[in-house]
Amino acid sequence: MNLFDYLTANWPRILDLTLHHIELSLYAVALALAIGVPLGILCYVVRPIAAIVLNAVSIIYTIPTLALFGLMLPLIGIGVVPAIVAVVLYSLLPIVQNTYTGLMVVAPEIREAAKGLGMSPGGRLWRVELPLALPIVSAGVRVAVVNAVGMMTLASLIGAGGLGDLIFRGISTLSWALVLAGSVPVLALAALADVGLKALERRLAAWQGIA
Amino acid sequence: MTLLDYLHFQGDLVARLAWQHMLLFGLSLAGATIIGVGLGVAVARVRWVASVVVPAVNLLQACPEVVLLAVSIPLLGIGFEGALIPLFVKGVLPILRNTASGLAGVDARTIEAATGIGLTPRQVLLRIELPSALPVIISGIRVSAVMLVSVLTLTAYIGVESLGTLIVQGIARMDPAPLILGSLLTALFAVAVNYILVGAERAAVNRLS
Repeated sequence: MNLFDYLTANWPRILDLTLHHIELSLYAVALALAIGVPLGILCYVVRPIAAIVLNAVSIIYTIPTLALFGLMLPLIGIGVVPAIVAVVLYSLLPIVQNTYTGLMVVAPEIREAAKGLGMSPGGRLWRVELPLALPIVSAGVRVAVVNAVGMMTLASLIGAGGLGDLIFRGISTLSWALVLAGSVPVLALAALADVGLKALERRLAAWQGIA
Repeated sequence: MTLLDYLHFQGDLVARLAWQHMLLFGLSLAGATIIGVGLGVAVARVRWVASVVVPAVNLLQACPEVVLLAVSIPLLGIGFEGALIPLFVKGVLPILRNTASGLAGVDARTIEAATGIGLTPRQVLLRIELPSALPVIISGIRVSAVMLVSVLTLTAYIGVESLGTLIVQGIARMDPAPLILGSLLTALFAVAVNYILVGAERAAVNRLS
């Protein structure tokens, strides 16, 4: 079967898998944000733990994707949940690291000025430091999203579905059409996320220029 | 079957796969380093090439390993050859990129001074530029090494024997023993490789100062 025949016959299924793929990736990145940003802030506020936390998340980031999914199986089983957990773990590094770095590089003059205005530490963090760190945090989110889209392809191996279903079936049946039908949307998603979030970063940076 | 039983009965298999994984890793990293540094020097010499190559490299690097593997199979077949495209993209490109940007970052005055005392361009490259760029190059080698462990694990899918074989078998048979063993060993391997190269990077920085 050539690619064109496959696409015309199966486009609703490809669309379904693509939407499922997006959904899984977004869930994972949203959870990683909910865990990673507070963790990054914690590293900034409680400086001694920064080295420990950053080392731990970078060790996780080093683990081969297949091995990380492999370790999820006996611990959590198969399906959507272990896939999301694996991708959340993997996404922590760019988010925690960038939140921490973003807060660290806020200019000391600005921090002093905020202190001089009589803002409380919490107020400074929330209203001065975090907004200034936003473009760098957003860069971390971009890396996390692009990674998540790619990693979710492997999630098919532990039964979570997504576009990996097409790719792996294509590999095992040596069907070029299936492989392409899965790979092209994955690449398109990754590229779109990259371009879109880069635009967001520029917006955030420009908005800071005005504010 | 518990992990210990599995090791008892299949210890030879595990040892063979681990050896194979390290062998393939060593060969790919050596190859990637030679090709990557060579291409990186070429890219740095011709400035306009860098402005085209570096963004292209960044784009390719964002491609998921599975997709690269999937694209590689119809072109190169099954087996180790089939893994060549992902190995190239994930292995050679980080080294190429860092070599090019490391060389671009060498202080122009240093190069001028070296030329001034009569070093030939070749000597300038080997004695001044490459040693100055070494920490950045090693950092590229580290990124590449971690990716290579990961790509080699995946090649188990196309019949290359590596520690990934244990993971693939474990998933296919829902057998936790090889699954955990394969995952833990590859994870440890990647983490160890990373730390060794972080150490090498520090040593290179210290030597410079």
